[in-house]
Amino acid sequence: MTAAIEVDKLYFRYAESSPVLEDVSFTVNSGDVGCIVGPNGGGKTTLLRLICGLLRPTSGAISIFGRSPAAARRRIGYMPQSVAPDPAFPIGAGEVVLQGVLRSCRHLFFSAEDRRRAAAVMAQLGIEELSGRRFYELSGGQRQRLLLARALVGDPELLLLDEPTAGTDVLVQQDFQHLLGELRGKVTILVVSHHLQYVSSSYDYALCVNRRVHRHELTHELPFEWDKVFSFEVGRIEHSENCACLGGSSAADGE
Amino acid sequence: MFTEFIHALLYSPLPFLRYALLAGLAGSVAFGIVGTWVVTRRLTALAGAISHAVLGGIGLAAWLRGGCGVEWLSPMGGAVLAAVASAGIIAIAGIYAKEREDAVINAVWAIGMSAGLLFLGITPGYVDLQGYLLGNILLVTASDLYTVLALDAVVLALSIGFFQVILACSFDEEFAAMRGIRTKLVYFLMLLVTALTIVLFVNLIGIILVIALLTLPAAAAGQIVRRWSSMMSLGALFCMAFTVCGLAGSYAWNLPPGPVIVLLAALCYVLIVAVKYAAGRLKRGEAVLYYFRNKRGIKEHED
Repeated sequence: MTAAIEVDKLYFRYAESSPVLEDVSFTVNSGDVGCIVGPNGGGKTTLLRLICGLLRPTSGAISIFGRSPAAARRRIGYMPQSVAPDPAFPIGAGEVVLQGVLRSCRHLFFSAEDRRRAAAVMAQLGIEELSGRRFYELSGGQRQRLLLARALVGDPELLLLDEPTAGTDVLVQQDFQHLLGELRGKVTILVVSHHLQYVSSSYDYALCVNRRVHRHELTHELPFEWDKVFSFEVGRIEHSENCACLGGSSAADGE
Repeated sequence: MFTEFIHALLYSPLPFLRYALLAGLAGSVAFGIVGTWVVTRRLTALAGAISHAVLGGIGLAAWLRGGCGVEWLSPMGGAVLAAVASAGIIAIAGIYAKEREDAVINAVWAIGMSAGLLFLGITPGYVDLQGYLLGNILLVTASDLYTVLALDAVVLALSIGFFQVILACSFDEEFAAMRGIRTKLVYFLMLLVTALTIVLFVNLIGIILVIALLTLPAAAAGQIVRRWSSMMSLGALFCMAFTVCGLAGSYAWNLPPGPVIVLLAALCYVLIVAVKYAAGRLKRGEAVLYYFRNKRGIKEHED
């Protein structure tokens, strides 16, 4: 199996501040579906942005499909936690999704094929009725699904999602788990989760990010019927002693 | 009231009013487009800094001519130089030191104005400072008109040709970068075009007021329309209307044109916001009425 993401002895710090990520090494196999967990300020989003090539490592190396993050960018579908432009930015929901197939500065107009693809992805996510709406009219949950559609429409080989279901209700979370199931095998997926210990059992592994990164497996033997709380099958992340995620002293001081 | 204005436009042997009107109409195209960029990407403070820093270049040109006998730099050339330089400084600060951007913007604003005032102070003879600050349509010449038309061509070509790219960068710069777009280059180009657009209107309505004419028509259009492209075209139409009516008003009542144009734009903006607010209230009022009527309907049904 080929590696989708290889991170080797990665260090990262913002300008003059203390390091956000230290001595991080891990490999993600192509086709795996994983999640990133960890305390607030532990560096989850920073790690995702480094993989995207939006930030550069202070030292160490990241390779995506054997290439640098910047070179592999267009094979990545990225969904940020939120976009915060001018709150009244005059843009239609359909136009936002189309940005996902924008290819370069030379890309002047969207073809009928691009539009057809955008419509198909919106239909797949059940948001086709939003296409005529304005972005600023949409609710938080609708915006999230729109940003997810934008990440998917470019046919990515690696999908990076930053808290795609934060603040959404149970039904949306169920839909999302269902979608992950549909995408499994077609694309490598890494999802930042805001849960620390119990995550969907559909993930193959969890990366615990708290300045250092540890890879954990999921157990499916649970002492309590958590499925009823989450409304989808969950697994427990086996945190180890040295990752200090739960109750231990947090190494993080602000993101 | 406007018959005199039209008469003067058509039959006056002095061409300055015709030039001012044509420059205003032509410049409105660029103002509608660039104004939309500035308003939706929230670059207003930045545009303000560039327009004020322009005085530094004008002052330098005036001093070189009056004090040193150097003729190759015209005031307009000096203004372009200062605008491009300040746009460059702000762009570099924005790209490499994001958190200190506002400080740099305000520094450029003050440094440009101070340098301009200093140069004008040491230039021998009379310099029409007020004309640069508040505008003077007597300064508009035929060559200015051609420059404005050339700028229109550049702005139109960029904004139509790279419409999707500029839109993507303005909406979500990081995602645009992920799609392989050179977002820093796009940002710098947008600033450069904004700077040139500002310079071209400095003669007509002055350094201090130009920023209002850049943002108010686009902001007013943004209250009405729901598309980026419509905001640009309606902004341009608004800008044309404000310039023509403002010039006519200033001619009819013998007032300085710059303030008349800007106050007219501000008045229209406030009116549009007020009407929109009132319409919103009315709609909500209807909704409340509908709710009560509906509730009664349900009750009757239950009975």
